Amino acid sequence: MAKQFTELKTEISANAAVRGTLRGAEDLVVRGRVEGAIALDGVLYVEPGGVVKADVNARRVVIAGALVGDVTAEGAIEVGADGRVLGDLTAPSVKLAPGARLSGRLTIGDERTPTKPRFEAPRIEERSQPEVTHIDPTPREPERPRTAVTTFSAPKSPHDERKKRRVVIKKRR
Amino acid sequence: MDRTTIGRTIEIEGDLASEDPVVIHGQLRGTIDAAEDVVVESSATVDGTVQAETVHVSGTVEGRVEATTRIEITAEGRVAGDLASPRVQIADGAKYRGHIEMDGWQSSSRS
Repeated sequence: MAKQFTELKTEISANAAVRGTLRGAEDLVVRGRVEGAIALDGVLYVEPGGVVKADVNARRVVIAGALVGDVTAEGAIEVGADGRVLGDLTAPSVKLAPGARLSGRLTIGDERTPTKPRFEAPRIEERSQPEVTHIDPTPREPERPRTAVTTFSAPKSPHDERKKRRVVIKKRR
Repeated sequence: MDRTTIGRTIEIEGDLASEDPVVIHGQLRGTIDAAEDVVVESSATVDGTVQAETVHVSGTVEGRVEATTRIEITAEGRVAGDLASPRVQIADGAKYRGHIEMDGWQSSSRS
């Protein structure tokens, strides 16, 4: 009789590879490789050493290995400290652990109501540009004449003052 | 020990290659190329070629089955396809249709 294995999580072991489309309604653990596409009504775990080269659609995605492809989750996407992602992440909630590597577009929340991306975008602009451009022009505009006067007055002032004084003196006389 | 398990709700359209043992409860349309045991459980359907060291079939296989050591079709098993292995066991109650190659079978595809 064949070995009896009780219902286990679906697992692609470290020395196994799937090439093609994988669909299902349960959790999937990838310690090996999956290349193609994954559509899962369950949680996808990409374990350390696991490689997924596929567009992924799942309820939740936890990445501790490598994933190349676009990921869409109904719930959360978590990228662990050793996780690497090359592709776009879209989910209501995305957690990136310190050390996680991500190269791609990050969309948190529904694209129709991009509340979080809108808050994030201005912050980046304010941090990078305003400190140099915005703050400088407004206070320096009044300061510029002062500095200009002082710098120009140094060489010109003696002549000007002398001329003015002479003129004034002449006029007074 | 590592083992690849394909759950009951899983459908794969494509190929599975594994150096670890494989247990299939779900559906696979494509080839299975395994270095060790492959178990096709009673809920499973495999539509394609299966190559392994040993193959146990309690589910349904439509396609050629090659094993370097042994093929076993249990009473629940259904296989439509050729079998190639030094040892073949088909249980009473199993459903089978195809050719069996046993004599002088050398596993050219493996090792």
